[in-house]
Amino acid sequence: MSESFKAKVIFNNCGAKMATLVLQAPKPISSPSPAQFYLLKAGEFFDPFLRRPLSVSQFEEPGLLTFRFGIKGRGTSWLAQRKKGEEIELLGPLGNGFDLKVEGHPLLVGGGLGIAPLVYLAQYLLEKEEKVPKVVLGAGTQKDLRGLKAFRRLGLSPQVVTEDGSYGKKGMISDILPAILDRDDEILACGPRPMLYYLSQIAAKNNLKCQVALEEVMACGVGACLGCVTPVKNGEELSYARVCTEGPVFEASKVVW
Amino acid sequence: MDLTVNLGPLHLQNPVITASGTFGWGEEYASFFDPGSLGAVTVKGLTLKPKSGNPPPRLVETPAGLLNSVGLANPGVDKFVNEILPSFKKHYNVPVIANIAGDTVEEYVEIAEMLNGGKVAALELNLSCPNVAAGGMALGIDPFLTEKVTAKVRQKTSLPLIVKLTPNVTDITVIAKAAANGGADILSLINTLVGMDIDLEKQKPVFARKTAGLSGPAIRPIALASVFKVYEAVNLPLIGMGGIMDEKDALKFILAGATAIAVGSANFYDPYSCLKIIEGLNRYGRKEGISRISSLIGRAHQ
Repeated sequence: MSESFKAKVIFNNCGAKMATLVLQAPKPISSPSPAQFYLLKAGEFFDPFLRRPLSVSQFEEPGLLTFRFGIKGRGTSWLAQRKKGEEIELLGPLGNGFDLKVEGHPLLVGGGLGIAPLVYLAQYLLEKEEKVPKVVLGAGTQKDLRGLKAFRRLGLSPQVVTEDGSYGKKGMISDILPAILDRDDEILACGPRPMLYYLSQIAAKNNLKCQVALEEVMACGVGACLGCVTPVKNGEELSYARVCTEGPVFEASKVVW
Repeated sequence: MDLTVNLGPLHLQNPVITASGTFGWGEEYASFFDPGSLGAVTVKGLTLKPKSGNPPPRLVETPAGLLNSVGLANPGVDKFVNEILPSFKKHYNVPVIANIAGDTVEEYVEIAEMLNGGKVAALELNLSCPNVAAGGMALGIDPFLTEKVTAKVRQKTSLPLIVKLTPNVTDITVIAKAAANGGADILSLINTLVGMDIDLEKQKPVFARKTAGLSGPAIRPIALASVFKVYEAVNLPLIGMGGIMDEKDALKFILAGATAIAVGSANFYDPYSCLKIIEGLNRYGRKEGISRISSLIGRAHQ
């Protein structure tokens, strides 16, 4: 299912801290599943050495991929500077995405950079599962809310909080979530680890299912090198799971926070 | 070009081997190319009991390379012999080199005995893994212990015996000679170099074990020098590795004295690296009119 290919940049919107890239695959590619990621070569030569794993923010058949990501270092910086017409080498789709057989009502919770893959998740739920998700988004400031328009274009009206109050209500996800939560909600979330931990607690307290998308630095990205593990628990049994293979999505109750 | 090579008792269809710890159990990369096209696959280091490995973070990128502190995470030799290896052999036809690591000399022997009569093509003694607190590192930097563990394993197995050398020593040729004296058939070098990184925000080492292993193109010149020196010191076939990214690197190692080469970190950079190296070697042979790759071994010494 995962392939290696070079895709052309057809759109680039790069800010100081975040970037949006739309890439066109040269031929039809298999549809990624929400929260699956691609490994992008983030330089011209051996430095930066490792590929950068980025989750799909939007996908249109047969091969249009949108990535929204934070500019954190030299790799993401290089990617953010790729201009229209330039090519980027990709490997993917990889990883275990969200379990889309959601019995209850999907409640999408995104924090900061975690908002990106939820756009695709929303699109997928609407188109393929015919479910209309509730969407709750939080960020530090308005500029960090990339993807908001994309949700609107899908016909959704996310509830938004920003820490500085520059958009939506002033505050954190934890300020507004309890009021939004319903008895048959299933939480699907992506964002900073403290936010995910909070969601795992509130889900457990309310006996709700909660899936979280984690991230880790990766080398091989295919499950071979065991570099990207995160501690998980199965009842009492502790072990390490690979974020690139068993993940990136995990049941919140199985994560060792 | 005839890419076949004779690594002592081990005959390979080509000199391209995957390095331990970088290719999983061989199946993870199978969706990209048939592992059967490789000279051999070296699996992740096997220990007597399953090891869960070090807590994250296990990886840090460095200039033209990476540091890893995985900690020999593996399901144990039992599970390998009974489940993983038979399953692999059912689907793929390629020699499997079993890399083994013990906390004591006795454990190396015990693991080797469990692999006898199995379907592995060779044993590779990991005396140089710098990530394990006990054993491993201690054995490989000491010529006496190197010779001792090699000899003890040699006594208990007739499988081709590879000893993997660590570069974290004063003189790698001393260790190479000790392994040869102990009865090794083949030497593989180099393992990772000791390195570290510090987290500026936390003002502490990034890794729980403080130091970690450095690999990738950054270490290639050190690896190449090690192969060159060891070739002159011992009369054993060598597997050269350390930052090999393409066929040009592979050729340099062969000219330096390696009979075969192993590819590790390059797999992360490009999962098709091994395949491209094999194709590149063939192209080189055609272009230069060389009929056998083995004719190039050690030519840089002439």
